[in-house]
Amino acid sequence: MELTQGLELLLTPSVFAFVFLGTATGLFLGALPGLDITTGVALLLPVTYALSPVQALIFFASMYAGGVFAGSITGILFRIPGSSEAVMTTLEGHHFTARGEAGIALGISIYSSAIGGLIASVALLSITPFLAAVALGFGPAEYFAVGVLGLSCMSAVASRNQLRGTAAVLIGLLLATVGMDQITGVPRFDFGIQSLLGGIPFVPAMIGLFAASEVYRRIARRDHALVVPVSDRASLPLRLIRIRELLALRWTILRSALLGLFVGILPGAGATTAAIVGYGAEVRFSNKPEEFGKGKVEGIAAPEAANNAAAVGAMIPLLSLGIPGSATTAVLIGAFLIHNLQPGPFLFADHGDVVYALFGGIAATNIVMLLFGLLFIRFFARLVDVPYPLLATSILTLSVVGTLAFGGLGVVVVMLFFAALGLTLEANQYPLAGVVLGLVLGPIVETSLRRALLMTGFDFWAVVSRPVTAGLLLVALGFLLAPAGRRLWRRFSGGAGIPTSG
Amino acid sequence: MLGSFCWTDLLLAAGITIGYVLLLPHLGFLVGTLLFQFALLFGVFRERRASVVLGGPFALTLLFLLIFGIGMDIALPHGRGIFLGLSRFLY
Repeated sequence: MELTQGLELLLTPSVFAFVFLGTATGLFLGALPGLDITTGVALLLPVTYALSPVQALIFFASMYAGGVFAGSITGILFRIPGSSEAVMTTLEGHHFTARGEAGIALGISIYSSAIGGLIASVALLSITPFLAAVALGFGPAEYFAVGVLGLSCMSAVASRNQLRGTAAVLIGLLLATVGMDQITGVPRFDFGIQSLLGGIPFVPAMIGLFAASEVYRRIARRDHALVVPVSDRASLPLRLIRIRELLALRWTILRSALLGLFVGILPGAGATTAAIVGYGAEVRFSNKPEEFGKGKVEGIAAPEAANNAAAVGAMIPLLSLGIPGSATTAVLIGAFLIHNLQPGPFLFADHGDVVYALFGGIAATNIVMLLFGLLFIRFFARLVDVPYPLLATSILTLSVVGTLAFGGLGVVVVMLFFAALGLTLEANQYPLAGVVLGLVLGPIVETSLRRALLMTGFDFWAVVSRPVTAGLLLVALGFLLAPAGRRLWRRFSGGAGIPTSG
Repeated sequence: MLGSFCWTDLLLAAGITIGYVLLLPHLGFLVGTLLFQFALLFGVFRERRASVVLGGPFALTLLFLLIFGIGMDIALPHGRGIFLGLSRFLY
């Protein structure tokens, strides 16, 4: 009954228009480096005063889903992750642009995001109570194990050189310790810089690590062409992904969407972690893991399906328990409170129609996102034809101005530090993904372990012997040992083995 | 690996960026960005076409100003002295 009422409410033109408006706003804000979707939602919260509760909630939910996808557009084209969720897509997708195949990468990204989001929307509607109960059972020990599992994905991401991969993760973990200690409140490695007290500002760091460093790398190599020149490329039609190519990715998308959904449900884990875990898992499943990181379709489909599913999944604990699953959903609570709605179990009882309209709106957003994406994909892909000097100048300006949105000049210095770090690491063939993994998962691993130890009186065995924790840690150990095991297997079976250098 | 780098271009680009960041509070976003883009295009990318070296920075700076300064209301630096007056006039 409430489901029908909710859908009727959603299909009212004055409400459904906000699906389009929210998606368009999310696409625009998500594609702008320097303005992540969380900030965008926070900036637009006051707008909701003039709207009805259902219009406001649908607007923000659509904006959130659209923004998570849009970060991949600039990531694929210019190696600037428009949002932190697009980091893994950026690593893989920009190789397509360099090959003159930006249309394929953008197409995979759009379809995977939309399908991943739709799968998660169905789950949102059907299994919310069950999944919320599972996530509720997770304590600090389990979160620690989830973090370790995420870090172990590095062995997959850096299959070509485990040592350099491990070093990159350690650099990321070290940088993650910067800022105020989350348990004792003691400032660590802040060097008296106020903007570092809250930790390394993530988006400016990513802008420096990927966008600015790439421009400097090309300048240093005098490589002033974004796309590898093909003599008659201008006369070629833009190549998009074909249906059969998309169908070949069905299991990748399904796997990653389910994985992303689960990670998204865990409070605090977020869509960025989901993208990393989804990517890492896909490398594990692949018969050719050495091809990842060089422009492989699965390397885009997996993180995109996972991060959009996670964005939807993050709504599950918010709506059913009142616990935000991510930073954006934490800000979204503001939109509920402005309209005197308290997210949690009573929301279903008191405003069932609004909740089901919201569920429907989230599902519809994925279809609208697909439509918008397909309409504008050719326009996006043609952006790479802009002369590189103008593009590089724009990217560097965007890097500085976008970073200014996160604070003063101190944050710009952080961005430039990460640009230098990215340039140095890439020049010496250290995978940047390792730094990202360490930076994202470091606080989760450290804080969760310390909380778990405090709760058990510093009994490490009591922490790691909890059934779920032990299971997850064993899987992580398996991930870490798998490359060595595979090399041994190939050696004894006479295979060539995975290259270990470069 | 670093040996194959063209250090002159890299250091010049890094120097221009650092100079841009340091001068932003004094020159403001408008003048600072125009000079920054001109310096990169002319000095690092060796562009000599007037339409690119002059037209490009004007168009891009205006675009960024519209998006970030006016559209998103980000606190872009206004500069000091005469630059402050110019910035206040526009954003």
